[in-house]
Amino acid sequence: MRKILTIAALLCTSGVAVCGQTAGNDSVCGKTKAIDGVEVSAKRTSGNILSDKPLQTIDKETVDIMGFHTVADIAKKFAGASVKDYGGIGGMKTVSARNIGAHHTAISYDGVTINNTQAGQVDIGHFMSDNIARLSLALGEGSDPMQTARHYASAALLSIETELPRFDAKDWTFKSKLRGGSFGMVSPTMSLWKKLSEKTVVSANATFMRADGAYPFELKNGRLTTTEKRRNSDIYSWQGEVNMHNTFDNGATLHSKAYYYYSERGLPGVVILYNNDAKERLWDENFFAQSVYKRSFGNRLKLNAILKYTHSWNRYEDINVKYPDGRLTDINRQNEYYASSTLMWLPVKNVSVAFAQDFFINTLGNNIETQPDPKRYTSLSALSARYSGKRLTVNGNIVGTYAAEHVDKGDKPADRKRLSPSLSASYRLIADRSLFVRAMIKSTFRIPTFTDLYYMHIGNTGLKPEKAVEYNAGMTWAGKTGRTLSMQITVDGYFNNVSDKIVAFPTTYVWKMANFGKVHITGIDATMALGWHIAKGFDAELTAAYTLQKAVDKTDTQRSSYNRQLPYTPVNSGNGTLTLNTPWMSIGYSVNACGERYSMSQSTDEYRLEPYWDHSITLSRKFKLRSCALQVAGSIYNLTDEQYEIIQYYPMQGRNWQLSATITL
Amino acid sequence: MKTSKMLLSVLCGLVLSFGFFSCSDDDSEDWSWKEGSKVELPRYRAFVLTEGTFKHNNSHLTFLDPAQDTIYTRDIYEAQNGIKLGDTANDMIEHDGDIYIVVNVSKVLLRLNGSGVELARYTDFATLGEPRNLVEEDGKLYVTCYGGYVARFDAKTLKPEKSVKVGNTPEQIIEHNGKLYCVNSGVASNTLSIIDINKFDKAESVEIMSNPFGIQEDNGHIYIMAYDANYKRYISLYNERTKTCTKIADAGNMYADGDNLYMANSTSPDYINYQTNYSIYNAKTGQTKEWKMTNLPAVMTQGTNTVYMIERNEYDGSFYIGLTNYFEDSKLYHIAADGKYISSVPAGGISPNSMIFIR
Repeated sequence: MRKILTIAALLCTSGVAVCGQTAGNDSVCGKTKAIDGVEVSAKRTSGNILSDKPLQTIDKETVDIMGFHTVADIAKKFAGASVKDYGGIGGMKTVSARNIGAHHTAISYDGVTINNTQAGQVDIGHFMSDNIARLSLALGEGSDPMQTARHYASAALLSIETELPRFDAKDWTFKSKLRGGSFGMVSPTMSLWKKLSEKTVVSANATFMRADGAYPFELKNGRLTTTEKRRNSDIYSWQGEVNMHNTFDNGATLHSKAYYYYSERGLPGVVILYNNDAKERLWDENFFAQSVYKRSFGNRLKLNAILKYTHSWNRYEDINVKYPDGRLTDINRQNEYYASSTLMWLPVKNVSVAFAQDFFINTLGNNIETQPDPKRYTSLSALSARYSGKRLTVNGNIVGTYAAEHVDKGDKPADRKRLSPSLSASYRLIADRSLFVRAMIKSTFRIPTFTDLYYMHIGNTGLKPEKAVEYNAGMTWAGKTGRTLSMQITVDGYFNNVSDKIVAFPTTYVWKMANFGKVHITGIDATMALGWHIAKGFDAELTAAYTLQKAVDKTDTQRSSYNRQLPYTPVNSGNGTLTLNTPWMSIGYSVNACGERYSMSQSTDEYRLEPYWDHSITLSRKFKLRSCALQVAGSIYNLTDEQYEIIQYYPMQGRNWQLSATITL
Repeated sequence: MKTSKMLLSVLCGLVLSFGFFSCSDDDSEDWSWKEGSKVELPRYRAFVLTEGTFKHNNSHLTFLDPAQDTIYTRDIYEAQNGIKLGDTANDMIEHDGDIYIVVNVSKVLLRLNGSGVELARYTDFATLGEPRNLVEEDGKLYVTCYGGYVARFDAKTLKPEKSVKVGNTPEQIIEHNGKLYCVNSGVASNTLSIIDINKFDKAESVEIMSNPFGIQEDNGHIYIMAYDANYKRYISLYNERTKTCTKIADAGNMYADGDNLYMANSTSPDYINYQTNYSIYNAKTGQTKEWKMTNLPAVMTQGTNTVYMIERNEYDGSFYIGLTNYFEDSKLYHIAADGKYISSVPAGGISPNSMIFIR
């Protein structure tokens, strides 16, 4: 704990130390970027039109109107994103883009990657939507050349960007929100933005959430259908962060953040026929402190530097008479020490070259005596070049990875070295028209997680990295008629080749992690956004996303699963939103739809999951009350009470509601 | 008195003649084994239990017609009872024409009639722990439970009667010479528990080896299967007198029959591709020789499948060897008593673990 506090203090004081410097003209707040060459009023896909790689964004306004609760709810709206949702408020939610796997999808929080070297995937259900400014999903790396080497190395990037403080007349803003809903959910949130000087702004927010989570669901057992209740599904969590934004005389900025999350939850687990005795519980804690420093040297040189420390802890407990003392307790602790810097040079007009260097150390400790307490040292170097002309944009990069491991006992894998190249381009087909074609090829890989390598008897230190090659080709278009209608359409076809897949492989003796499998994923992602300015005070926006995907097993011609669709992969899936803003209220309607899929590689009725449609509606209204603003909202989720599962025997919630009131001073 | 004697004689005569006629008249047979059946089944029957995938509720009971080597396409338990077996059905035995099944993760003990119609169930395993394996003796069922118990149930009513504390996480159990033997695979246990069946009050604990999980007996020979430190399976012969074990072979499956122990051993350098060898150990001679089988399909000796079950049809001496790759519905490979491969039959589910034959 002392180590955490020391590092947190160091990171935060690096921000505090510059507070006293002289104020300049730059503001740190509310910067906006203009997009050249295209006018768009619909928000969903604006960046996606210009990008050489699929890049989808959803902003705060949409999140509020739609009543999205967590990052997982928002991520379900991206074409090609599959969110594995184990149901309930506390159920784990991970995101995978185009079926490459959650391990290949990097999650970034205000520009810095969130990592879990033990499990390799991040539970995005932890992140509430309250302080989110926008969420974006980029295939390949992100679009900003100043990103970290980790971002360059990812197969897909889900970026969470939090709100920047904004001020009107006074130098502070206070916001408080109270939310309540079905299954005993209560969640108060408070946030404060304070301008300490023209150069320094601080913000803080905290959210508490609790829920009983005991929701009803239908259980089909042969010819029998019964109504059951999800047991042991309670949760309470605390989440908070403190930010400091500094601007220096030379134009440099420093954004320092300390984040903390704590939760205790019951794990209802898979629904077991005739056995309703789930007693597993999980406590987890996550702390990180990060500082992001940005500076330009003249017009040709830019520097980003990042420091981050992460500590995470979790405790899993199960009560069952089968354990020697009736209880099993597993405790895991992870640390990450992370430094990154990116330097960009603009040698001539339209050309930029960037070099990003990341270095990080990951450690894992737990209460299992035989465990090796591994440490991993990783260096990622990314060299990228970009040409951005009037009609043609070309991006290329190559990422070099070097990773070495140390263990206190037992075997360790050999050092890993690898180069991963990527190339993408977009071309404006007709001058002055927003019609683009784009293409991308990218090679990535993932290093096995600590669990893959070392966990109890299943770990296998002989694992090779899992490799993926992504191909994408698409067309984007944006247009408008007068001032009333605007429209954007993107269509991308893709092919992903994943080899040496790391899977838990059941053997005669014991489950073992193994490189087994080859997967070919072919598909089409299409998005559409239509903005309609109906009349003064009346606006409507319609968005839709559709994915057609064939993801087949190419592992072994002898197996019956050969050439069959992967488990939990629908051929057809999509979603849509409709927002209507009126002078009296805003209405947000949302639907997620998913075709049939199978929970196992054999496509038999037993493993078939029914198609589903999940509709939600949110009504909200803003009131101006003297010096404060009040917003009230009411949502009904799963309007038709559809009984469905994303993961078999993990039932999703049926119809449920939520009310919220937000006051801003 | 005379009248009553006469009446008795007539009655005896009727019963006797009924007995004679019953040899050739189906109507006079005892058909109670198929009371309530929704499916027409032959008298000569076999049932296969497939445990499925852990926490997928996909255990199945499959009816197999041993005369034709065909299966009833649907799960016979679900067809008869309208509900599913549950999660990880771990063991099945036959007693007095009835079928007994323990469903491990679902915590259910079942009694079915000879056509799979449920007659009784017991589910209150909160204190005893998940049921694992079972054996029958003198109308009583003895069930190993993961809480460290062997529990006794009345075989007709499934009423629990008494339990005896044994080692941690007991697995397979046998009856031999008035004693119950169960192996305990749990942490810091690694013992064989021996219980006098008449007293059924306490267990004698014998330290044998790490991670024992399988035990079988025939003709007075007791075999124990365990995992070694590298999680490879091996089989030992247990000596009742010295209470010690002597390793006889590396093998992952066994079937004890008379003085012979039929074994299968799958080995793999990469945990993916396996080579499987079959052998027979003779307890009288102490020799191990190759189990000679002819015309075997390649899948039985190499590939991603491994042997999960060896069972023998006592009526014709043929063997059924069940293979699994843990992901897809398994197959049974039917081998004649002389080792000739006969056919392959779908198991009706993933990972077959036990099979019974009734006639």
